[in-house]
Amino acid sequence: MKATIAITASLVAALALSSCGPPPYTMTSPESFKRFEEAREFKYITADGVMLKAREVENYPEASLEFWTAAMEKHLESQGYVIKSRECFETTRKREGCTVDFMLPHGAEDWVLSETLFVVDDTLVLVETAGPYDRYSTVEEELKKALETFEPNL
Amino acid sequence: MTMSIRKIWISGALVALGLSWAVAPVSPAWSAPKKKPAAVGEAKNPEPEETEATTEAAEKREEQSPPGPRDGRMTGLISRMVLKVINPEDARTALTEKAKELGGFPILVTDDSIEFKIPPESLSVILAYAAEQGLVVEKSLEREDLTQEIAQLEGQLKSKRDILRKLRSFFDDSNVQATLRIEQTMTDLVNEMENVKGRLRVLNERSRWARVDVSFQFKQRDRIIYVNSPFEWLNTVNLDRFLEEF
Repeated sequence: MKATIAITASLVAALALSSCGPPPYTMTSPESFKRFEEAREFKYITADGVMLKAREVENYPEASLEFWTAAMEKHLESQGYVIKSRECFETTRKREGCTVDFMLPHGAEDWVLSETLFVVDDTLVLVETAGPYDRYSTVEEELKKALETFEPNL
Repeated sequence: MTMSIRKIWISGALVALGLSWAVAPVSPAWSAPKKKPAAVGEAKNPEPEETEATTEAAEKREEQSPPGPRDGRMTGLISRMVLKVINPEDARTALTEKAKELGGFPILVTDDSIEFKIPPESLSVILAYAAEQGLVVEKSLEREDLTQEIAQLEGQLKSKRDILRKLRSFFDDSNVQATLRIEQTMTDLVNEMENVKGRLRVLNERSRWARVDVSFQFKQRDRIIYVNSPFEWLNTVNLDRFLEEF
């Protein structure tokens, strides 16, 4: 009985630890960005507040990168977001990704919400960046280069 | 003698008018002619013919000089476009560069608009390029057929030129009074011809260049309206959630 309890406790602890660990994503840090090293999430920020964060969602119903990119564009456009640019690329590890930059009014400023999608089997990995347009523009290029080195490692 | 000198002077003045098409009144200063006495006897001989030919050549050159599709229809094109852009300055610079590349040039540049002229054959190229610079809110194309108006003016010019030629021949048999009247008529005629030529130039210019007016409209600060998506994860993609969870 004691043994069963001990095993269960170990399993729960192991599961808890694994869910608390940092995500497996890797990316060459963009020059102007600093990573939150201790955070549970994969996130970066610049001195003037442009934020980057990666997360994953379920690829359900299972669909291709093109499908999800189109669905996202349509959905956000219907809400009033304006597509600023769309670029599909291949990472250094030959993984396909698509970045769509959206513009939207936020307070008294125009903001950019940039969404980069990677399809990894039954998972969608989203790398999201947001910031005021003028500040985002200054880091746009280095961000693009960094995204080409992104690897979900799932 | 005085009569001959006067005839020569009028011919000379007309030649000058014919060559330059300057709208200058014929001077009545009869003492002014500086013609050589030898020219008196030659008044009816080769010189008038020669000068007439020169005038006609100059007129022909003048008529041929404005380029444009003279063989086909003469069309005036004006395109107006309203663009929503993120950065009007960038869009303006890009459009100016493209217009120059296509053989056009800007004619009016303000903070939130640009107006330029471009060869008509490049109009669709520049409009497509402009559309790439932002969101097209409004677009219109105005096409005006100038062929008939140009043909009418050219007809008027030709008939006036014929009358002028005939008037010149009347000098030979006219007295002082008649010569004065002919001179006045010719002066008026030259003025009218100048007027017609001016209008022709304007129309030719309009058919030679297409005009493009582009107004830049800053992005309207519309509110974002949340719309539910059948794809669950898409409902989590928005700026507010991002900022909240960051």
